[in-house]
Amino acid sequence: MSKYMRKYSAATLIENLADKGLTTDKEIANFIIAQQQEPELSLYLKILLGVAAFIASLCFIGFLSIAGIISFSHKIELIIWGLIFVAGAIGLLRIAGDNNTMTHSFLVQSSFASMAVGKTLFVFGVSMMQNSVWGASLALLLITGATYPLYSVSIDRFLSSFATLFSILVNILWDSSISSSRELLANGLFFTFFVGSALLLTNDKVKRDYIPLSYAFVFSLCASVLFLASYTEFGYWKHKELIHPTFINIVLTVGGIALIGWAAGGLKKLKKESLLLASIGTVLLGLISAPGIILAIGLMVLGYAKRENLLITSGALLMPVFLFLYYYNLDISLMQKSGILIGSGIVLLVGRSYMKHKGWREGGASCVQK
Amino acid sequence: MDVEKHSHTLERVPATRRLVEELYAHGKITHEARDYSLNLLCPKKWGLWTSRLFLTIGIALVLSGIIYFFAFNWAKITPTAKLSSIQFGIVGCLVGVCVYSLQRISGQLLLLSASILVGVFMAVFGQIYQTGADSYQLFMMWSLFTFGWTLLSNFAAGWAVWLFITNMFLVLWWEQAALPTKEMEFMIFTYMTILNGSALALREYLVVDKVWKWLAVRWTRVILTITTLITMLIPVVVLILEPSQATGSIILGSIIGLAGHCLAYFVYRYKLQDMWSLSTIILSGCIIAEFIIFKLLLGEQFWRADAGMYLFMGLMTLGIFTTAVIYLRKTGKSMEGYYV
Repeated sequence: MSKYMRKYSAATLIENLADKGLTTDKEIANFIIAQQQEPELSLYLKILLGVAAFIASLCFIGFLSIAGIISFSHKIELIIWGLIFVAGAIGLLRIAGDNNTMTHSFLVQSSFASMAVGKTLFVFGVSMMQNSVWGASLALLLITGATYPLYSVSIDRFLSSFATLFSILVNILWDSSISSSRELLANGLFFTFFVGSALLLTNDKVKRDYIPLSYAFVFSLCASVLFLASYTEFGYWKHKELIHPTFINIVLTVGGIALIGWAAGGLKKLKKESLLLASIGTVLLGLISAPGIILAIGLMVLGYAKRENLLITSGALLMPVFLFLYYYNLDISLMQKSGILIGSGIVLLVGRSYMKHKGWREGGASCVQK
Repeated sequence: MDVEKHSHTLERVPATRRLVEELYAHGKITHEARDYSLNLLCPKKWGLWTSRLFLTIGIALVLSGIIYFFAFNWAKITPTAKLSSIQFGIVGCLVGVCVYSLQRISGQLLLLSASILVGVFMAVFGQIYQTGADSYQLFMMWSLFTFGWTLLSNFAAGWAVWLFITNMFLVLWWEQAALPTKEMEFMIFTYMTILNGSALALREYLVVDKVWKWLAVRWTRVILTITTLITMLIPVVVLILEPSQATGSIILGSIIGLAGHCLAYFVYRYKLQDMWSLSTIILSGCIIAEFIIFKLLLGEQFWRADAGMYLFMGLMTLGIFTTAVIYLRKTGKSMEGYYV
């Protein structure tokens, strides 16, 4: 629980809601108690589940390969076995049910391991059939698209979606056959990731089923800026291609202003002095700063607005990783990078001083979502 | 409403953000009720939060920029100008600390900046005069010089930076000066366990006794627990994999590692009750159990198992982790409401 969170019981919360006339649902108490019987797995259990599935799936693939049941030289066989394991995983999850017994947990873990084996074999098979680096992306897209609505394990949904988006990113950045249009495609992909994240994270009507997908988009955005922090020139030998960060900075700046407006409760509220200045500060950062810095700040602000600690943590971790990779980027000198960092820092410190001067730190500029 | 009927049970259920989101997602409360509930549970203080964010990131970026600048080693600036500008920065930060005081985050961040600039000063000094000193000496002096300020700062981030510098010193000293024999090479894990484990123990003692409330921020426990567990786990895994080649330092590191795991389990299960720390310890325990079983099954043929062994290992993995998940779910229920 966050230190900023006040401790209330469910009973007190319901009383407060009833006093304000915000709930009349007679079943609310039964619903909460039912939720306690079958709570969604905590993040630490999901991590444990993921580690178990990873180790077990490696063992099972080793077994299938050594026993001669599958052969990595037969593409169709790999695809068929992959689909059998995926179907098995879905079946196992259905059989597992919702209770909290040893059998249930064992079946859920077996199901997840089976899904990992199935997807790995399927992706290998399709990649070999395509004989192209894009084969893996296509296979991941197909299998993720097919299993997402059917298989409700959120860690699988997140990992599969992220693997799909990440493989597309890697292919766009390193496929030698698309060198003439690499910058256009890379910028287009970044824009797609950005729009995907924005739509899924800022729209209250999006179903909970799509939360893993929204995080896959966010992590892909982070991966994009980290790649660009390491290299802005792609390609090998004498042929160099530059991906300029200008477009990404523009997208992040416009997105930053939209985020301020969204958090304030509507774009019309941007006319307010404090929010107008925040927007000007965002434009200044966009002009002088690097994408990783703007994205990290944006994630933290979004996380605070949505009260999602995972987003705040992602933003806080992105910043040092970005600064580390940025140090070793050879495309611009350390002197230029130093100027960018000091300039960005000064913009933030000036903004903070102005807030203090105007007395906005005590909550005068609070903008609770309506 | 069934609230009265279930009031005793509902009193024991903590109202969390997740519960509110569940109620909203299932149509049990309106959007307005969701916003009201979330504001009740975790009220937003945009002004204060943004101000702190800008200050922290602003200072971090300026300090990073300064490090990048001196790493560029611009020949046009004279050595005197380089060293005096850093000294000026250190003095400036200290003046700022006096003005703002260590009771405020701005003062604490300025003292942390001064600590980092001390390291920059020593690196630039070594760059100019080519002292030939090993890098462990830089980290050692940096750690020693800034210890007093860290002690005074009452600032968790300051302690985290100091511990990072001290860990760096320990690792570099081991590689560059201690030059251990094969018998002793794993002692570094014991030293790191003692350093980080002591810091964790001290943190828990001071927080429980409410002596240093500023240390109670959760991330300090997370970082120290993970670091200590990793340094305890490595010798244990090496001992399991290669028992015939185990040296005295591996055996000692493993004994300390296993004892440390048991102690940490006891503390976070019964004394301080923290599910995140407990699950990290259980995960580490599962990894140890996996290696023991693999080794018992395969003996010296560890990397050349037959098909049946792979199948059995896969099933064993599921069994071990299923037991862990069941245990954590049961423990989690009994520990609900504890957030030390």
